[in-house]
Amino acid sequence: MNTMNIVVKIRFEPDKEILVGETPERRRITLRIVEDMSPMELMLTALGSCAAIDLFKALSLRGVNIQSIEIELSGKPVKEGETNYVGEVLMTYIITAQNVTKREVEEIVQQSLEKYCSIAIALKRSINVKLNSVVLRKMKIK
Amino acid sequence: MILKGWYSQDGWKTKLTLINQNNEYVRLRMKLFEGEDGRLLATLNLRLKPKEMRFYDLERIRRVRNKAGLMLIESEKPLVCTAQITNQEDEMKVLYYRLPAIEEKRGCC
Repeated sequence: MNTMNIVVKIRFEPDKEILVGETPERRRITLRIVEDMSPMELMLTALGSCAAIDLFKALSLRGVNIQSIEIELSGKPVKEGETNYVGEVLMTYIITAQNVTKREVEEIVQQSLEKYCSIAIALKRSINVKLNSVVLRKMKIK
Repeated sequence: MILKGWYSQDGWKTKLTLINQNNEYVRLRMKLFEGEDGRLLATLNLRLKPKEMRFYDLERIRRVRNKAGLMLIESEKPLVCTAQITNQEDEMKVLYYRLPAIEEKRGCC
């Protein structure tokens, strides 16, 4: 993995009801409020996508023919006072493949979630989220 | 680690030498495929004693008789494996090599 910081910029435009996430390389994702996934669902999507990519790499290296990898993620909400968060995520893998046994896949998935899936590891270790700075710009009145 | 190599029982015979350089037991899984990307013919699960060197003749595996293809050896700890492929008609024709380890690039980013 690259040791450079991973940077994204989020722009929320309430009038248009959209959120845009953009990297410095101009790769972007646009989310329509209400219609698209919520940020919490996106977090689960990120975890599932990372796990699927890692599993695909691991199985391919082991000579497995893979037709599809489906991962169903279920986040268990926890309420602590005024705070709501996902306390536990249950992952169900459905893999369509040839040249591999269930036991082998289970071993690889376990290893993936413990050692290689960056998002799973980050979530398990609880990422340190800190406020860097706040910039307030004056709005131009039309 | 994963070691990758080629075996041939098709007019040739393959003998493997597996060396556990660790001071602990090592579990390994050996997979033999038909050709380079064909079906999986056999999977063997072996356990080597600390510092054990084991010779394994692929003639012992019926399913790879008259077949040749990719061989993958997966081990939880570092392992050395060499293959000796001998022509059955002319035993002076011998190929001998050490299986290279594949670099595992994992994770999503």
